[in-house]
Amino acid sequence: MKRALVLLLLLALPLQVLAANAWLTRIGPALRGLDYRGTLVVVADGRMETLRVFHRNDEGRERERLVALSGPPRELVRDGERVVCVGTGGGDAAYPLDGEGHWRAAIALGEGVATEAYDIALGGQGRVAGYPAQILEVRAGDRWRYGYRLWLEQDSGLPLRVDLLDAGGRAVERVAFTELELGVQPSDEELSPSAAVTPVPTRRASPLPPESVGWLVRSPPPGFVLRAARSQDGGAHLLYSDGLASVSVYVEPAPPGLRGSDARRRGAVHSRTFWADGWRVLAIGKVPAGTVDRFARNLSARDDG
Amino acid sequence: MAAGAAARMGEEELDLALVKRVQAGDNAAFDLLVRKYQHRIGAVVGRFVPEPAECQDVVQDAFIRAYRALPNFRGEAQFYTWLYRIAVNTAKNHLVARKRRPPASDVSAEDAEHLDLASRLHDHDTPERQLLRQEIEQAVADTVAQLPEELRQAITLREVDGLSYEEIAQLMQCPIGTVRSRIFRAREAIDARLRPLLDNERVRP
Amino acid sequence: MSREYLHDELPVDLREQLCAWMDGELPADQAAFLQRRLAHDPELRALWERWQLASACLRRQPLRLMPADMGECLVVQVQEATAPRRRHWPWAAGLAAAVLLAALLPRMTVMETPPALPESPRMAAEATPLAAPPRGPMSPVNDGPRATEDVLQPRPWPRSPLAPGEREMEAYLVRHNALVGDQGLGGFMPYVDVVVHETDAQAETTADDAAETDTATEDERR
Repeated sequence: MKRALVLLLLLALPLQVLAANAWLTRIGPALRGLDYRGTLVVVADGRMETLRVFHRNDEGRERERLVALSGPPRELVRDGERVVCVGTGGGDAAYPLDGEGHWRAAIALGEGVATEAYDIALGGQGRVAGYPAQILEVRAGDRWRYGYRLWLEQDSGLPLRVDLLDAGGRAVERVAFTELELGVQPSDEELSPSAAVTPVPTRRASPLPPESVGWLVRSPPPGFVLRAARSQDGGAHLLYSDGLASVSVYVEPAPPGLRGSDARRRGAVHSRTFWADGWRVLAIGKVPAGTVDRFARNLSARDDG
Repeated sequence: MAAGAAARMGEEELDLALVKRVQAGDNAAFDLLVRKYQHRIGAVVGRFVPEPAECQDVVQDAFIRAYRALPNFRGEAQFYTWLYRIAVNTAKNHLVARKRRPPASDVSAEDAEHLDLASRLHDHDTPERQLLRQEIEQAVADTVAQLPEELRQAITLREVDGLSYEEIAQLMQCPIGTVRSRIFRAREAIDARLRPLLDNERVRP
Repeated sequence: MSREYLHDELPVDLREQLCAWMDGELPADQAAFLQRRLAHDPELRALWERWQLASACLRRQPLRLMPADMGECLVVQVQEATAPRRRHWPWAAGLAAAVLLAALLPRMTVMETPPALPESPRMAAEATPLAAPPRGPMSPVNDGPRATEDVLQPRPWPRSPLAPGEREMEAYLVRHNALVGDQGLGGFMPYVDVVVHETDAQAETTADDAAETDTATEDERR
């Protein structure tokens, strides 16, 4: 039913946009479903970081590993439901995700994109890491989100390069493969963590229908809707998205009698935290600073209790 | 004797003992002094020469100059104060030689140590090393915060308040041997957290 | 910690002596023996170095990390004046590879001036965070994102215990990526942000913690 509706919607759009949207929908399946091994370069803040990337999908069991080649040694390993971080800022940790790690084929990238939030158009042809690529221009309609310029591999749609754009169309961050073996299966060893880690204590999180969560963000920026919610530890984890950009809002009980705020940035990922009234709110996402600020400020309990 | 003075004398005596050994031809003692003060001198030089590779070179130059000047060091001043001045002069000379002007204000060693906030805000070191420094500082702080009360108290009185073992023993009302053991266990606990951060063999590409 | 460093090369009493010596509290005869041992034991010297680094951290002294082998290099240098100078940080291998790879990307260079974060008009009014269920009309919808200069201004307040720590932030980001992936949403190269670890907490604004007992707060909730 949903697919038919989407198809209808797609047919209603002009051909160019239809073609551009079709390219968007190929990205998710390619990223999740293909086997590949390569070297990724991330350029941001005038610096460059290099990562080695391994990805494999065996009949639905998805595994990946990212290893930093520049700077202090650190890596992230994911095997289906478990994410293990070695040497990253939080210290060695394993995160069992209780079913959160799976990609659901039901809703592909691009189908849920708020059309008023972005201008999507095909660009020219390019070449990245030796592969011919189709360029896709995704311009943000306002300052609440980043825009993208994507180089997608012609046959599969795998993103070979992604430029994150600010409101002026300038690249805030560039991520690109400098070498890539597509279709090559990384070995078990390449997908295993370099060190054993102690698991982070599991935090019980159960999915909820969005309507029944006791919190919401009043007047999120245009295009952002509540996509998922989970109750957790007496609080909640809300996910808002406009189809491309996503912001998570975490609400948790906090010691009463304290009030304060915090703002962080990790590359293009921003977070904003407030605590007051016995609660702590944290909004985080790959969106401009003002956006997480707006989400965190406008979180409140639902009227209907 | 004022509290802390005994401990500072203990440390100062240690520095002087090492200096005497260097003067007597023991270069291993010089290595120990470098290992002790290299990062602090790095911060001092870094205020004049922010670029990381250049800063490293100047720090090395400063230590070499200190080594060569050691025969003339008689112990009138604290060793670190003497070393600090050499580092500042080396940095200034470096800038002048490259026709660059040193920063306007030149702070004394004691004031400089209390400007840690300013230096944190204006650290021009490489991102990787800034990050590592932050991780190190965090690891140390976290470990100390999680230590059993008596270990935490002992190491804090020693490092932050600068008390001698004798003074700590009086304060904590325990034998000096216990103080020594507690400080040792605290340092071991911190080192267990610190060592992996400095171990660069952990991840294979 | 899962990794055990058992110091199997270094006897515990030797380490204890180093500890006391470091504080100037070791008797002279033992000190002499210890220094001889130090001259020939790189593990023991490395321990000295790490303990000194920890000490500097505890005393909150400003630090800029120097390469691990600086002491040894200098000793070599002062012994042989003609020894060539080691310039690079021991972990430069990865960086060298990255520089090589950069040559393959003519338009992606490290030297580019960093682009500015998005500019935005100032918010008209400051919305109260965590408003309790509002009885009346909401505060006006804001025009644009809050000026980032406000958000990015670090202030010298002591760190609040409620500000999320490094481990917590990483957990939030990992779960965020997981939920995003679960919903089949954007995030073109998931989890890269977790690994590419730029300096976190740069834009830290931590307000001081104060008791929320004043009546003004009560009124704001109306």
